[in-house]
Amino acid sequence: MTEPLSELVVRAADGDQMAWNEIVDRHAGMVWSVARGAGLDRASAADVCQTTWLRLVEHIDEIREAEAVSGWLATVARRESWRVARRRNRLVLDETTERMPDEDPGPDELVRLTDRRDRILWECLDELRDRCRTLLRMLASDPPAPYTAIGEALEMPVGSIGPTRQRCLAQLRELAEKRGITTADLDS
Amino acid sequence: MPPDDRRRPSEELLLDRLRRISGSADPVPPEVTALAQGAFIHRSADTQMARLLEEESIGIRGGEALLLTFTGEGVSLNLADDEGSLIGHVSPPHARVELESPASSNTGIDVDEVGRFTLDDVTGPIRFHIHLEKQDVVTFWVTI
Repeated sequence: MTEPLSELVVRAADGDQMAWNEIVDRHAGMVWSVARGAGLDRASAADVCQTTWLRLVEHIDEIREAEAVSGWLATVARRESWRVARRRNRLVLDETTERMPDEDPGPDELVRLTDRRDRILWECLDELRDRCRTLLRMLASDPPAPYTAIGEALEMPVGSIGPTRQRCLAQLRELAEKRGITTADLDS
Repeated sequence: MPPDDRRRPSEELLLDRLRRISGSADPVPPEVTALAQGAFIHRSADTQMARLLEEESIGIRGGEALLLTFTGEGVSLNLADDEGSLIGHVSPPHARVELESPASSNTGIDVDEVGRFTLDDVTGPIRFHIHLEKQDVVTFWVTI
């Protein structure tokens, strides 16, 4: 049986490493997706993840509503990602563009995709604007991020997530179509 | 059939595909998960100390790009960038400051008479411990 998050948080606050590991397992994919969705390279994303988890360690005694942990993690990761992205951008003096200098999928990512349609779709995902990219990344994380956490991280009401998701997926399809990947290709 | 019902399954299909791609192209690196689990060992040391509040600073001060300010308990510590070096300023200036990173033990920082210090080659999560006559305080972890 899956243990409720609230019990895991109580046990972790009490010093239980196994409970902590379970909290990590349930959220590591989401935290990673937020950092990568913000356009950070893998090394910077790894730093942001570590900081986010260290912050939860500091904060876990103060959590009153355990279910809020997911949203708290997503929000901290998002804020930290933006700060790191802004700083990295400033340091490389690349302020002329809204896009991060290192966000294009590297060859090591693409080489893992054997299907041409997948490769193109993954590249198109990176071309979306930050908000859509993060939303779709969070939804595609394993396990998928809860809507409440997405709402908090992206500062949007939970009720808007469905329509936004629809719009972002439509934009993704459009980009893919420009590169010759049709809806029929993607549905097969 | 209303358009929403037609679109729905294909939205789900596309998301499924993104999930699959994300899982093979950009899974969470195992070391990231290991570090997340390892973060828990920093727990016990945390409970006693007063924590400083954090505020993002944006702007330029004398050629330095401001990053963050921590304040509270009569202490303030701010961080700025100066051409790749991290510049810190602590007040009161006579405080003893230590730098902590997750992988190594705390190291003392040389602070000058006006409370200024410079750190080179610092990356990843760090936090500062500030020792005053009467108490010790600690900042939140931040990514540098």
